[in-house]
Amino acid sequence: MAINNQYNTNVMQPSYNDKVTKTISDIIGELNQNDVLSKVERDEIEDHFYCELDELTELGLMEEEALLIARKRFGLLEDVSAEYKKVSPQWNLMQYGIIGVVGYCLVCSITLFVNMISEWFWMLYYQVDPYFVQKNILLDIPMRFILVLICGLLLTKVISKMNLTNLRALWKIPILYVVLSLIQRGLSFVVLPSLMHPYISKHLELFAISNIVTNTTFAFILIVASIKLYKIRILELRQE
Amino acid sequence: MISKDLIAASSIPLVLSILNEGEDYGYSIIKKVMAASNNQLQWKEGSLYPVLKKLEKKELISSVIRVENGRKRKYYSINRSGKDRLEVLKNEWQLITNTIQMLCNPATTIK
Repeated sequence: MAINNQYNTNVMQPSYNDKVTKTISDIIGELNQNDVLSKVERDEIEDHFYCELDELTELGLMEEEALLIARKRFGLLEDVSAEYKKVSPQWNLMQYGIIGVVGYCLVCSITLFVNMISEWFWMLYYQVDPYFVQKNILLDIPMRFILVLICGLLLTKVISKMNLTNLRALWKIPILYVVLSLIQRGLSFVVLPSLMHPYISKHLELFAISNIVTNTTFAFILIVASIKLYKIRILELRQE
Repeated sequence: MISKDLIAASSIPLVLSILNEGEDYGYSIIKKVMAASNNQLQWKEGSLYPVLKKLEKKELISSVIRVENGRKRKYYSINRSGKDRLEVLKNEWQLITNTIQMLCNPATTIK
């Protein structure tokens, strides 16, 4: 189910007075109280109101009068909002599982990619000057930490704001993850013999710390994301 | 005035029938339903959009966003599975109509 966004950058605003525009915006805000609408859906409802206003003002009604009629015809906002919630897959537990798996793969794939690059640089430094190797290893820990934090924040934002009807498109991420894993394993196989150098062996504890920090952060992000999703679900069940 | 339940039950076949004629957007679908029913079938207009979302989620229809007169407009079109579903729904409605007709007016011949 593809939604092809073909937005034109030259968007003209509807020529209604500020009061009308604000009222429509408020109506949509009220409809979207529980974040049931995606951006596309908000635009769709907005278009609906402007279509109705166009038609009614063409018949000779004042803008405010036309808006009152449009508002009445639209029906109770609570009812529409409740209908939206029923069809929103974000409230489906199975989708939660998918979000978890996809989210984990998303974080893994990005960190994996960065790890590959950092390892490549690391090897480069190692060949130039052993002193830089130590510096680079130390740099690796905060770099990974910051990166996974950024990924975690992005993931949480995506879960909150994304149009979950497009969730299937995210299955590309695990595929990417598998591809990157294969590349990484392949590279490790080639690079591994050179890791046996005495200098590297001596500083292996730094790698261990780096991995512990990274994995703990992963776990932390997943726990936070799960709690957030769990709270949303509980709220939803109460409202039902 | 047609009952709320009947309107809700008929919304999916109505939407699919309109989209079977060609790509369309929410407001236009509402107007076409009203015109086809001679203004007898009056939806609460806001209720159409969750129906469209449900159909899209079930992959019976798909959508594309275009900009018209400076406004972002979401156009829907029916999918292969939507056409199949429409055929099933048509048959179901036909059966119900025939049954009601037969029970209410036994003299009427069922076609």
